[in-house]
Amino acid sequence: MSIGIEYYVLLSMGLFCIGLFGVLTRRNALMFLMSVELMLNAANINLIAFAFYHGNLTGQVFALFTMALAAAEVAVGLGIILVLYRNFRDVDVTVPTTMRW
Amino acid sequence: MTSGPQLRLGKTLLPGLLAVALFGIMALVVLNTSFTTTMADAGFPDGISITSEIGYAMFDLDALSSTDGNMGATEPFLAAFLLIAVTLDAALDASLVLAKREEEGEPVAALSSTGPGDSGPGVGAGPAPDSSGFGHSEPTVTDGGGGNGSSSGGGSDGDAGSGVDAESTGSDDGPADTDTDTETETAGGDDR
Amino acid sequence: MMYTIAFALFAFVTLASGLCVVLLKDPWHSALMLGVALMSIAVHFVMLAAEFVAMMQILVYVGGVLILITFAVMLTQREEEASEEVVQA
Repeated sequence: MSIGIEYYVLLSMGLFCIGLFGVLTRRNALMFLMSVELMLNAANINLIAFAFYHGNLTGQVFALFTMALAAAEVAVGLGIILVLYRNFRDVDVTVPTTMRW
Repeated sequence: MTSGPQLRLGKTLLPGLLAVALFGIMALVVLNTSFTTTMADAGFPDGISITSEIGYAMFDLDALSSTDGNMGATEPFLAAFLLIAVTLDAALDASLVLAKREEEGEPVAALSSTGPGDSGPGVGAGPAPDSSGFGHSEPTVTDGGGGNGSSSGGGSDGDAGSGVDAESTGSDDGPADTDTDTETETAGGDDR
Repeated sequence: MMYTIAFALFAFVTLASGLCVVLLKDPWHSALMLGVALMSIAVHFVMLAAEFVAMMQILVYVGGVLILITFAVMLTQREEEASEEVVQA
């Protein structure tokens, strides 16, 4: 076990920035959802890496909670996307503009 | 229909430079940070089960959890566990509410394949209820435009409805809503 | 040394499949690449002595979330190709 903690932090930052890249560049709502999953997983890598390097289990328990919240978020998000597709015949996030002022 | 994976490049990737810049800044910060934990005391102490320790921490069983090293400093998480259980319940309810669609003001159950007044398909295997169930379940089983279009978009625009029919290959036989016909027409126009 | 090689390999797999998720054109291909990324993240969890979290990662994400995303991709796919062509044009 000789991998420094900074490499895990760099890996999770890279994954987070890839997710942010996807959110910034795509217009498909499904791609938004997948990018948010990538960002949540980056946070999980960070939590578990620091839990290992401090010998403390709080990070692992918190990562489990994060995964449960991600599952709930995906359920609600997919419901919203299906309603969006039913009303607008499309999943482009720039099409529904009725709630802009 | 099947095609190899294609990358999506071009000018639309320009806002992504913000993400790359953020990665650069954060990498600079991390590489200039000295982490105090050395490799020697990393890892968990031997002789304990990590899975059961996770369970003791999650359900607040302090008397059972071990006290080796830093392991005794794990916080109890019972209140967070209950909060997340309630949140998952709320997410289940929310997804059911989102999946329910309304026809003429009254909600239709999300999982019913036949109409509310129709007899279910599992009544009998005889020929007469089978054929009636087939004929009645056809307009309600289509998800997108079937019920909605027959109630609202019937007399407003017939041309958009025919365009949608010709464009989407016959899965739903109703026109789209009145406020979305422009998008579907442009999509169909570019599809040709 | 062994751990370093394994970490470098799976870090590369994770980052490359993450890039494929955000760069591929078809959302179905992106969903498959998301599955690859989630599984390689589970490998990282195993290397960090978090076997239970790795199992939960595979069960919850690959077994639940990815199946839900697959459902949504397949329910919204037909219009998607047309709108992608509009975006590209």
